[in-house]
Amino acid sequence: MADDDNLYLQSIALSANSPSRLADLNQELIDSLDKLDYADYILYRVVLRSKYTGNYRAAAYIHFLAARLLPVDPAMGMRAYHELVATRAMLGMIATGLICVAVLAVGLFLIRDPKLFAAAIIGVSGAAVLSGFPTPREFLTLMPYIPDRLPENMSWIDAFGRSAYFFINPGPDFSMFGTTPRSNFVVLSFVAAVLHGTAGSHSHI
Amino acid sequence: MLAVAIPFHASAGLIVLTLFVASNLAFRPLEVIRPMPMACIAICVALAVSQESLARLLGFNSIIGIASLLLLLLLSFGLYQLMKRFDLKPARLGNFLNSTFPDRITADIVIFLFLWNVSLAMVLGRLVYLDFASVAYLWSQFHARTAAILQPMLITAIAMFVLRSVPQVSSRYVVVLSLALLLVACARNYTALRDPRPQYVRTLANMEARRLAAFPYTKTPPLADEGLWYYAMLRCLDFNTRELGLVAK
Repeated sequence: MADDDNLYLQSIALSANSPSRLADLNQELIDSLDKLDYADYILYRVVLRSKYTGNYRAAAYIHFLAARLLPVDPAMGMRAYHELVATRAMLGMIATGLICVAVLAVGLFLIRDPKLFAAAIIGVSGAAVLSGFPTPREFLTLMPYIPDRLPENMSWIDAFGRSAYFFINPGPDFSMFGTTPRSNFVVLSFVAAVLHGTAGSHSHI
Repeated sequence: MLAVAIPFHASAGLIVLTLFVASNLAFRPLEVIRPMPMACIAICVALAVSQESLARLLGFNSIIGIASLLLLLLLSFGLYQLMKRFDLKPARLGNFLNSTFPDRITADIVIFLFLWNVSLAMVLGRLVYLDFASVAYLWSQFHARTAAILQPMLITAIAMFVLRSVPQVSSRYVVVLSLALLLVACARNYTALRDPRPQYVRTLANMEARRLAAFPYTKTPPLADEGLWYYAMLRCLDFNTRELGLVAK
């Protein structure tokens, strides 16, 4: 839970009213890593992330509300601060998770076709069962620091296989059972697709 | 409904929206080119484009973006017209898709899988010529992540296909069996369900200890310090301190 993604999401939420402050900190991070001679692909990843601040508005807004609810006291000790950050993270995750579960329940309730309803339940159950398979970290298609994952050292069949594995178990960061904004999106777009299938028109897009 | 999902992840929203719109324009254009569906699509596109970052990172700007969108629309609708001109009866093809895969999800997923494989082949063919530290890294993640987004839809589509093919199977029993499976899977994954905060606090305390002991610090193996960098950033924002202080001035 205390990973870079969540900490960065909280940073985006905190700087909702001052995006230039976040931009300055991102620039300082990029310059610092450059001075420390980090590899290009790491710098590139940090640059990518620095430009990826508007992508999760709904989740960032919910975390922003959590931060407003639990403000930092400048005099507080580090232990109290860490507990506050953890509580804010959990509040944000519970709130976004509840929204997704509620929309999923309403979406399933609106399905009138019994076969489609059964298929949708299988979709959710199947994803849950497959989440027991090995996590896809070892299946990431290309990794710049692992020799056999460089494009020039990998056959197309290997690359297809590694990418396709994400259809089996996308792992906690990507699946509909995760706590990231991407996981929230998977649940909500699944409901959109199921309603799209049931209505046969774009009325639910 | 997709308009609710897009604010949670705009880039993923654009991918799913493109899939929906392209497959419908190609095979059911008359259903799409009506005021209400077009208005819904326009709202989704506006929402996605207003906050989307991926296209810009891939080198798209507003002009290229609009041109690509127009090209996609022309290609999708043009495919329909072309098939009509050559008497390939796109409506029949649409009907074929709808009858072979009697729901929209399955048909859309089949189209998606085709596009996914074709584009993966194209990207892999090009990757060896690209600089890893630029677009190759992003493209390498792109297909796997797209597959992850569509995993539950794909399982639903396969289940739908099987259930339609075997009509004698009762949907009620399938639902009960699936819910039982869901319970087992949840029990298996969450038997150790507990408050995650103590672990989170321990991780943050470790990061703080490293921050104090090692700043300005020496680098560690690839990506191992990402959490620490963003912890330092969050701390700066929370306590309104000026700098991350990763390197000595």
